[in-house]
Amino acid sequence: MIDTKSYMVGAYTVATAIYLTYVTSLWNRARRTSRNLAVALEAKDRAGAERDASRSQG
Amino acid sequence: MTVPHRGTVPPHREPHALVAKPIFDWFFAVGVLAMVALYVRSLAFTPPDAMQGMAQKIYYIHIPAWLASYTAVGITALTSVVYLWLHDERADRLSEASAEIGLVFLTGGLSTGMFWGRVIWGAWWVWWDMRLTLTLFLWFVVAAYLVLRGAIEDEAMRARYSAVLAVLAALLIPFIHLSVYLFSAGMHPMPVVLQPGEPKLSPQMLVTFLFGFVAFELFCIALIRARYRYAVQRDILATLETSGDAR
Amino acid sequence: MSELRAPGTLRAAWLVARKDLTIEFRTRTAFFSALVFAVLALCIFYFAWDESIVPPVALAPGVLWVVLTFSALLGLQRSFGLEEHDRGIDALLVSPVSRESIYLGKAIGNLLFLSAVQVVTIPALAVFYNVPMGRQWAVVTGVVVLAMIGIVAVGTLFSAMAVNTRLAELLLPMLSLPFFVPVLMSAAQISARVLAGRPLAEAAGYMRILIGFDLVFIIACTLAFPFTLEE
Repeated sequence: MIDTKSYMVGAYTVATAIYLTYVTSLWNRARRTSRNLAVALEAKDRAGAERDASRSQG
Repeated sequence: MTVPHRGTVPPHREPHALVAKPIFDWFFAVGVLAMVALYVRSLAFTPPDAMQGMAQKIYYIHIPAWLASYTAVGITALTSVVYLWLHDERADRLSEASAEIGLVFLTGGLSTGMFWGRVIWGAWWVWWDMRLTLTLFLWFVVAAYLVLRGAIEDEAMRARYSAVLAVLAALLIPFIHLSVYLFSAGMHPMPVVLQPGEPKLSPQMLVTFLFGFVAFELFCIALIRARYRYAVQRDILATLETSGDAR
Repeated sequence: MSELRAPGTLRAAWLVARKDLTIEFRTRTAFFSALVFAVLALCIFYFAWDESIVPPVALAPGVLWVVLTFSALLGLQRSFGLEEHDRGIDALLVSPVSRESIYLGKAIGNLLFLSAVQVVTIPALAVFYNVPMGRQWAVVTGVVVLAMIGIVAVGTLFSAMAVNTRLAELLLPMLSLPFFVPVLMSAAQISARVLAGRPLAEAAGYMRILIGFDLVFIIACTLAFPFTLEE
C-alpha cells in the first residue's frame, strides 16, 4: 500500500514553501522600495524648501 | 498614430499618501488567515477518503490553486487589452502584478499536481492529463511574459510589448488545449493505481473543498493588491529618481 | 499624367521581402550557416541513438521537426537584425509602405529563407535516415509548408519585439517556442502517421489545428505588428 500520508505532507510542504518564499521576496522588495522612496521624498522636500527660501530672498 | 502612455503617478501631488499605504494590510491578513484556516480544516477536521487515504487532501490545495492561477492570468489578459485600448499605466501595472501572482499559483498548482499524480497514477508526470500539460505550457508563457518585461527599460514600450504578448497568448491557449486534447486522446493512459478523477465528496469534504476556493481566491486577490501597491511605489521612486537626475 | 501611387499591401510586402532576400543572398553567409547547422544537427541526432534499438526510420519524423524548429529560430534571429545596422527600419517607416506590408514582407522573406534551407535539409534527412521516398512525401511537404507559415508568422513578430530588448537572443526562443507548440505537435503527428503509411484522414484533427493556427495568427500578428514599432 502506498504511504499516502507522506505524499500529502510533501505536497502541503512544497506548496507552503512556494507561497512563503514569494511573500517573503515581495516583503523584502517592498521594504527596500519604501525606504528608498522615503529618503527620496525627504531629499525632494528639502530641495524644494531651499528653492523657496532662495526665491523669497531674491 | 502616436501611442500615448498615460501616466497616473504625479510626483508633485501628495505621493506621501501612497507611501503611507502599507503593502500588507488588513486585507492581506484576511487572505492569510483564510489559508491557515483551510489548512487546519483540511488536515485536522476533514476525514480522509476511504479509497485514496490521506493523499486525497492534496486536492484541497491543488484544485483551488489552479483556479486562482487562472483568475490571475485572466486578469492579466483583460488588463492588457484595456491597456492597448486606453494606454492607462494603471492597467499595465495590474497586468504585471497579476502575471507574477499567476506564476506563483501555477507553480503551486503544478507541484501539488505532481504529488497528486504520483499517488493516483504512480508517476510524477504524465503527458496525457490535459490539465497538467496545459498548465505546464501556461507556466512557460507567463514566465516568458515576465522575462520580456524584465528585458525592456522604457515603460511605454514595456507596457505595449507585454500587452501584445498577453493578447497573443490568450489566442494561443485554445490551440494548445486542442492539440493536447488530440494528443492525449491518442495515448494509452497508464494503469491507474487508485480510483482517479473527481473524488466523491461527503458533505464535510465538500465544505472544505468550497472553502478552499474561497480561501485561495482571497489570498490571490490580496497578493495581487499587495504586488500592485509595491509596483506603484516602485514607479514613483523611479519617476523621482529620473526627474532628480534631469535637474 | 501618371502619378506616383504608394504600392498596394501585397506588392509592398513583396518589395520588402525582395529587399531582404537580395541582401541575404548577396553574401549568402547566413544561408550557408543555417544550412550547415541544419545538416550537422541531423548527423548529431543520428548518433544520439543506438540504431540497433531504435531504427532511424522511426526517428526521422521527430528529428525533422526539431531541426526545422531550431533552423527557424536561427533564421528569425537575423530578420530584424538586418535593420539594426544604420537604423534601416527608419527608412522603411518613412517610406509610403504600410506597417502591415513591412510585417508581411519580413514574414515572406523569412518563409522563403527557411524554405530554401528545408529544400536541402529534408532530402538530406531522407538520405541519412533511410526513409523510403514515396507519394507520402508530397503530403509531408505540404505539412512542412503549412507549419513554416505558422512558425514564421509568429516568429517574425517576436523577432521584431526581441530585437528592441536587452536579451534578444534568449528572448526570441522563450517567446516563440510556446507558440510553436500547437504547430509542431500537429505537424509532427501528421507527418509521423503519413510516413508510417497511415491515411491522412486519421490526422484530420491535427490538419484543422494547423490550418486554423496559420489563419488566426497571420491576421493577429499583422494587426499586432504596428504596436511593436517605436513611434
